[in-house]
Amino acid sequence: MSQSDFQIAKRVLAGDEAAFEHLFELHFPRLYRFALVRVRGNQDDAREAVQLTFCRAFERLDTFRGEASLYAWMCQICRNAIADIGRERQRDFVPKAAFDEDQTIAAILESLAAPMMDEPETRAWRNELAQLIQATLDCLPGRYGDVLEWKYVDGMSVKEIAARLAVGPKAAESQLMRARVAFREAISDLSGSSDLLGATNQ
Amino acid sequence: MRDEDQDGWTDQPDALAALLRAAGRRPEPPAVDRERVRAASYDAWQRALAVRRRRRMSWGLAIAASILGAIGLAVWLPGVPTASPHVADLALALGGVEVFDSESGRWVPPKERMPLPTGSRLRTGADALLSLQLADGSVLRAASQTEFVLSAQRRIELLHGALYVHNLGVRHLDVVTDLGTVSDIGTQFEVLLRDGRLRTRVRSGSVRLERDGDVAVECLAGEELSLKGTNMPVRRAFAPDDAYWEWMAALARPPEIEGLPLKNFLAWAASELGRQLRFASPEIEARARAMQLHGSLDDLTPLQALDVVLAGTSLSYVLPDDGSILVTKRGPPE
Repeated sequence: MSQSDFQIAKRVLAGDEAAFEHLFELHFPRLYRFALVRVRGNQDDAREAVQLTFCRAFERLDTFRGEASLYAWMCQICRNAIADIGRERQRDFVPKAAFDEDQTIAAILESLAAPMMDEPETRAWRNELAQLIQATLDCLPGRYGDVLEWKYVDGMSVKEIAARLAVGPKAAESQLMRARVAFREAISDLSGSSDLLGATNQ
Repeated sequence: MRDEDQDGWTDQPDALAALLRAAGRRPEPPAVDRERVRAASYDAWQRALAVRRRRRMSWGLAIAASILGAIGLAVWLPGVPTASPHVADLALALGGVEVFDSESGRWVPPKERMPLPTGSRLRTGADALLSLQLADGSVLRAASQTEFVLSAQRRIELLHGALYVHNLGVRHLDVVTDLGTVSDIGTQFEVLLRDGRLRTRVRSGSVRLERDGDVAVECLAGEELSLKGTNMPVRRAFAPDDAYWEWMAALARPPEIEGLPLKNFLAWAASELGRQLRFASPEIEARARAMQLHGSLDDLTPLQALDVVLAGTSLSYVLPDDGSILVTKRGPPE
């Protein structure tokens, strides 16, 4: 069912419309969010950056060797597109520190355990946390991010997830398990701590 | 404490679930942005495929040339151009079209398919029409009694008359006039400058009209924006499939169809006609995707080409009032 990014790229290069649709639908929302936080929330700039990214990606797709994930490869193109737009429009797109500094990330995650206080600083931390978690979901392979969101945010049952993925319940359950493992590893890698989410997981 | 859903999937109340719930749903991009980026990406993909097809043909030529060389024939083959110093090629000129020759200082008739460098100035007479292909594959068409300058790679100065642009590139294309600049990304639009009035009509996507010292105004597909002097722009609806657009459809020439999937050809025809492509069923769409075309189509308008191509298939089309092309199965409904 799931194909490697390299196989998808080969199918797109061969003119396969279904592969084009798959690639676009899977990566457009993630790249849009990736761009939006880097262009200070300006939707016009985010749209143009993502449009440039896709156009350049299709022009160079034959250079994609599958060594990194397609999403990571496109993120790099997107970073360059944002830099080009910034230069062209004389905008100051400064990368968000929270996504680039491991220590800050660790601090954000640890703040989960702290008692809740309704103070501006706490709210800002929680916003940072939400953005970090959402960006992490976007970085997971295939539909893992969607599966976790459906299960834990939308409260969907395994049967409902199976229906969305057009697979059987067992396959959906297995995908959910793998998604949990991938997410836990991604968060641990970011925070530099192996037990942030490990204590009570299956 | 345990949390069990109806499928028997059991979760402990772990940090992972809490973290995801705390983060909430990831925001969805606006649907209009999705559609615009998708359309531009699809065009870029199609262009990339066309380049690959051409590259394969070049390889074929290279192999043929080396075979000829091996048997001792002196063969000259024109080299494949690598860098393109010009900004456009003349694709089609109907009637009295002239290009300004800066060496002689005179207006002269253009040569067939002549390359046009930056700074080229062109004009069309009464009843004349002109079509250019820009370096990135975008299309520029000029109505009668139009004069313009290709002032840079993605910048056209309209002196008077009407220009139609189908921007297939990935960057803005600007049409500059005395009354303001119309910019777009991946759209089809017309800019008219006549008798001190500037008007833009958008067929797909959107454009931005900017004037010195004024906020930019956006004009969306199916809209017209017009202004005189420094007055406020006036906005009104203008259908993408209005008969008005026929002036530039006369300049449309079908793409090379050898090996092209039928669906791609249909997408081209829909784009030229300002209509949205629809299929009567997923099976018909799959059939159009799988079917490959052969031969060539010369000097046919989009509707004529559509008739010719579909005549050789089991498919047909109708043009409903909703502004679409509906592709159906030929014959009575099943």
